[in-house]
Amino acid sequence: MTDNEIINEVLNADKNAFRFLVERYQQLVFRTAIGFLHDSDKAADLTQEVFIQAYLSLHRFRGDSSFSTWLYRITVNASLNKIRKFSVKKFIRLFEISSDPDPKSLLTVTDPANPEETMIRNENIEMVRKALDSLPEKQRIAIVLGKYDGLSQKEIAEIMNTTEGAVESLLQRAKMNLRKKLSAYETHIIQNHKQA
Amino acid sequence: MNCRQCIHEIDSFHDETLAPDLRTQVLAHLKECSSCAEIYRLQVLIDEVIEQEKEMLPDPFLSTRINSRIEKMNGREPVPGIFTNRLLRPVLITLSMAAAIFMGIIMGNLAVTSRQPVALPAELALINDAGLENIEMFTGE
Repeated sequence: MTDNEIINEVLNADKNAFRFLVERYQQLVFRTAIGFLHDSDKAADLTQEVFIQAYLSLHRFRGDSSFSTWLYRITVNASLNKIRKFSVKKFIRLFEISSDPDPKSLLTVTDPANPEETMIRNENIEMVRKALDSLPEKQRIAIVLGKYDGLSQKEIAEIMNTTEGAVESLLQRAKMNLRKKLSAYETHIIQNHKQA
Repeated sequence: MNCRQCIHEIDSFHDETLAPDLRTQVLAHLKECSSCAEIYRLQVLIDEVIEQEKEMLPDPFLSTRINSRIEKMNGREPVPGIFTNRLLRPVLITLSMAAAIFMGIIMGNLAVTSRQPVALPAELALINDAGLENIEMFTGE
């Protein structure tokens, strides 16, 4: 069954047929959400939201693009909205005393046999995540779709509603920015270690 | 090969999609040039972290949870649309809040009425506690 056949089925007769689309695309949505949020619980929640949103607006899907492109757009928008909400919450939390751990810390690697290597690896993971999160929105979208989802520049351009040339330029600038930011973070970490 | 060419080819070098002769040239340059080697090291680091994150899997019941939520929605509202989502819901919320406030006011008024003291007889109301008669006035009788 093709995507369009399933969509017609959902809209005309069997609403439960939507489950086939969920099965087919849950991994895609989850992986993209991970690229933006770096947290499996948050990504799973977002995946649910995306599919509910897609189900509710399925009657508005005109079929101009493929269903996956449409779903990518919903996922990217939902992820960016989530990030904006988190930023506001984070700002509010600055004024609160809380004992909750940082959710990102729950995803770090732990190896009791080699604590020093574990620490360096965790610092590297955190450093790359910070660098990715600090990219401008469009560069971030391009890099997530390219690196996490392995999409071609043409596919990214279709999702972002832009040209292939613009995507190429976004990816180049994103990589350059990532390198700059990582170098800066590394210098900062080395200085901290020296002080300690 | 110069630094500019090397950086241009660094992604393909890392993805192992470069032609063998070009690959040899990039490799030779990376051995000589520390700044390009540093860029390559950061590139490897970024890709390692991304690969690690890509290995995260959703829990196996995610699709079941999504489907059950959608089934519940189907049971409640078969065709959710703009009317139900954007118009009817805020109106209903506003109406229910207004009804709750109205009921609160009525109940509050009832409570106040029940707590008011029973009206005193006129003769008792006229008694001035501060100017009561001397007790001897009664005991002398």
